[in-house]
Formats: sequence, structure tokens, C-alpha cells
Amino acid sequence: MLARSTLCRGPSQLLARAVPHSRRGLAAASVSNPFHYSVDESTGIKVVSRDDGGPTTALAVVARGGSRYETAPGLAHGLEKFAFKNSRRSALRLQRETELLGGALGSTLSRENIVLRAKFLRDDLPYFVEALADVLIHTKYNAYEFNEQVASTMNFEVDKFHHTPAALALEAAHNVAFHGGLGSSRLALTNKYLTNKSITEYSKKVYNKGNIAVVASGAPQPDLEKWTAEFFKELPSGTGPAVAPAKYYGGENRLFSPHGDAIVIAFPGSASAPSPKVEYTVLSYLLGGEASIKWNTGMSLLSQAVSDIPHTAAVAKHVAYTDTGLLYVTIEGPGSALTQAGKNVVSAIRSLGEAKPEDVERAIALAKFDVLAAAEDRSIGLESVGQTAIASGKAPQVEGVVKALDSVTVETVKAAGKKLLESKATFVAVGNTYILPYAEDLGLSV
Amino acid sequence: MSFASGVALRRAVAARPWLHKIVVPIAEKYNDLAGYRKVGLVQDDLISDENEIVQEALKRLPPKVSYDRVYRLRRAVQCSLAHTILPKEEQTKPEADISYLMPYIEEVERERKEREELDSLTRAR
Repeated sequence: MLARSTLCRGPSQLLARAVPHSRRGLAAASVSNPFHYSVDESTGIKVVSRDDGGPTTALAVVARGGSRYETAPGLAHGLEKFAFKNSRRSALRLQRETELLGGALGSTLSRENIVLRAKFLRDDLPYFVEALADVLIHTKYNAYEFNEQVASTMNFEVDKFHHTPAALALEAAHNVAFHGGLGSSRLALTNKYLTNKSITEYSKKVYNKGNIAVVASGAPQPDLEKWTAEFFKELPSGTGPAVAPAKYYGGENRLFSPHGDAIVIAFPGSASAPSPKVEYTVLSYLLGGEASIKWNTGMSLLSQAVSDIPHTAAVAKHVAYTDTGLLYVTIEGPGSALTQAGKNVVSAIRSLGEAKPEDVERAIALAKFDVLAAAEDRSIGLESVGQTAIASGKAPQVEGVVKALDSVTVETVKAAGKKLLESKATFVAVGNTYILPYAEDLGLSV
Repeated sequence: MSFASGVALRRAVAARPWLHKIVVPIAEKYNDLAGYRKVGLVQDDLISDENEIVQEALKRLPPKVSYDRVYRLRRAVQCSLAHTILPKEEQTKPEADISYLMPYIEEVERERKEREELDSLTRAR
């Protein structure tokens, strides 16, 4: 048996060793609210940071250059996969040096942003700011690197996408809902327009001072500003690609897929900034679909709706973009069961107008927990923080979101829920199209 | 001996103007007499490609350059079989005899050397 005292002592000692004493003292003194992001401009670049005095740092460079802004299909995906390839130093050297420092590098692509990420020990901030700056300024975009490394990883992702019916359905739903721009495919479905030259051109369009934000969690703002000014000074100035505001269209689409069946039902949602309508977030939690406890279908509307249909799951999510949003329900399961599941889901959505106050309260509590839990995690929220900083020069604060969630009333949620089915819905069925239902079968107007 | 060592020698010569002045005319004459220009080849076509480094470098050539290389080689083989040389205007001119492959070979060699160095890092005490 382990003595209880040993168990208790372990972690705290570990922490004490990881955090240098002087820093811990400093941080403890300066931190009043560890979730508060401060924003500033350093040589024309938005620098956003928060510092909770912890031993590790998550750093991200958010560039407004996701698939929404690309000038030919697939450029954003190609550019994202070119991150951390040969620049001033070789890709291999960067990778090995990062490993020696105990850090990790990565990049992600969303519809709106290309995000370069780094996680590392607090003291290594200058090294990683320089590494991310090198990607933006000095990447060589060699043709052979594209052929040898970039194209194969892209193809791998695209293959995976084609084998995931739910992802295919969500992608098609965006296309139906927003048409071009925001609705264009996130991944490069074809390599036809991708050459190292076209990717280089796109990088010049996207990687410039007015179009990026440097976001850090766990780094002091003055240090971050100083290093950003030093390493990003060669980055050309500019304001990035122009784009038409997104418009919601809605409609129906059916795709054959041999890899499984999925349905996505989507409705217009709320934009992320400057004034997000949080009732849509609450609606997505009210519909829910994910159980909070293991081996249990859960009490949310959607999990109740499909609980009688075996091997079927329906999950609601809300995604917010800069000027619009999408509230969508993904239903997965055997094709033969999806008609019934779809009908149940639509009647659950219809029942939102008469939502019970205790259900709304539960949804708000869940939403609040997820917001705060995401804020505690160093690396989750960086993209949305950067996105808002680029768009408005301000950082979204967690306190604000929590306050907004607190002020949501049952009436506003009910009203928003009623409004959903009044607007034109988006319906996508992927899989065995012979047996999958049409929107009209489920009682949706598209 | 690596491919890059030949390049290093060439650079060492180029760095000394007096030596450069002596060596270049001799080298030019030698290249002319070597005869590969008479069958339409350029010097980099003569690099032995039966090793991994050159194979990788060849893969990295831009499509047009790679196509031209194959064309030159096939034309030269044809000349060799027919025991002829090309007409004067189709022979390689000295100014067209540029090093198209060597930069790629150097790059591959540099990469391999770097990997070797990084693989055998030791910690300084």
C-alpha cells in the first residue's frame, strides 16, 4: 500500500520543480484573472496573450487564410501542409531542435484560418516565435517538397475525409448552406490547381501583417510583443484577401458513399463576433446528443429522440464564423434506421418551441462548463481568439461569454428554437441514397 | 568521395582569379575534346546515376528539364549506335553547357549530411 502522504506529496513536488521559483512568485503577483487576454499591436501585428504563470506555453499564429479565402480550390490546404517545411533552416533541423527543447509543432486548417501552433516550456518563447515567423517569411515552397511530402499528407487527409460519411455530409451541408466562399471545400479535393508557384502566391496574399495574429497562452505580453517585433519585422504589410460576406441559402443534397450512412440537418446560426447570439449555443446544448455519463443515452432532446433506435446517434453542434454561423445536427447509423431517426430528430427540433425551463437551465450549465473548460486548456481557444483579434482588434473574454450565457432566458431560447424551422433548412444525406430519406419525408422545408 | 567535393574544388578555383584565369581555358579545351558535346550532351548528363543520391536528385528535376535530359540521352545513344556525330548546329554550344543537375545533388547530399549529424548528436558537458 502506498502511504497517503506520498500520494499527496507527488504532484505538488513535480509542479514545484517544473516552475522556476522566481517566475512563480512574479506570476502569482501579476495574475488577477488568468483567463483575461490582453491585446496590443506590435509593428502592425495583433499580439494577444494571457499569462497564468504556468510552466508551459501554447503559442499560435492565426492567419486569415482558410478555404473561405482561397482563389483556387485547395490552395489553403496546400499552404497549411507546407508549414514547417524547409525555410532558412531545414525542416529536419527544425523538427530535431524542437524535440530537443521538448516542444511540439503543428498546424491546422479551418474554413476561415490557417493556424500554426507550438507548445513548449515557458523559457523557450523566443525560439518558437522565431520558428513560426520563419514559416511565414522564409518557407521555400520547393516543388520537390510538395511532391515528396506535402501532396502525400494532403491525399491522406482527403482519403480519410472520403471514408467518413459524417464529415462528407457536413462538408456538403456547408456547400449547400453558403454556396461559394465559406461553403467551398475545406480540403483540396483535387491537385489540379496546386503547384508550388500557386501556393507561394497564395502565401504572399495571406501571410502579411494585417492578416495575422500572434496568440499565446502562458506568456507575458511584453515579452511576446518584443519577440514578435523582432522576428516578424520582415513580414510584408498588407490586409489580406478581401471576401464577400456570407449569405445563407439552404437546400438539399444527396451523395452516394459506400462507406456508411449519415444525415446532416442544418439551420442558420449566429456569428462569433462582435455580438454573438449565445442562445444558439444554448440551443445546440439543449438538443445535445452526447451523454455526460458512460453507458447511458443521456437526457438531452436528441439522445432521447434516437434512444429507441439501435446503433444510431444524433449530435447537435453550433459553429460560429466571423459573419454567420451554422447550427447542425449529424445523424449517423445504419441507413435503414435513418428515416425513423430523422423523423424523431425533426420532431425534437420542433419541440424546442416548448422547451422546459429545467432543460434550458441544464443546457446553459453545460455550455458554461464547456466554455470555461476550454478556456482552462491552453491550446483550444487560440484560434477563435486570434480570429476575433484580426477582425475587430479585440479579444473575446471568457467572462463576457459566461455573462452572456447567464443572461439567456428560457423565452429567448424558445423564440430562437421556433425560428429554426421557419427558415429554409439545409439537408444532406450521404450513403446509400436508395434508402436514405428526402428532406420532405422528414417534414423539413428546403 | 562525394559529388560535392568536385563542386568545392571548382569553387576554390573560382575564388582565386589568377588560378581561374589559367584553369578555365584548359578546362574548356578539355571539355571540347572530351567529345560529349558533339553528340549533344551536357556535362551533367555524364554523372553516373547508379546511386541513391543522384536518383533522388533526378526525381527532383522540374518536368521540362527531366524531359530534355532523356531526349539528349536517347539522341546520344542513337549517335553512338550509328557511329555518327550530330550536325554542327545541333551540337551543344559551350554556353549551353550549364550544370542543371549538380545543384540538386548538392542539396540531397547536404540533407543527408545534416541528418547524419543530427542523428549522432552528443550532449556537451
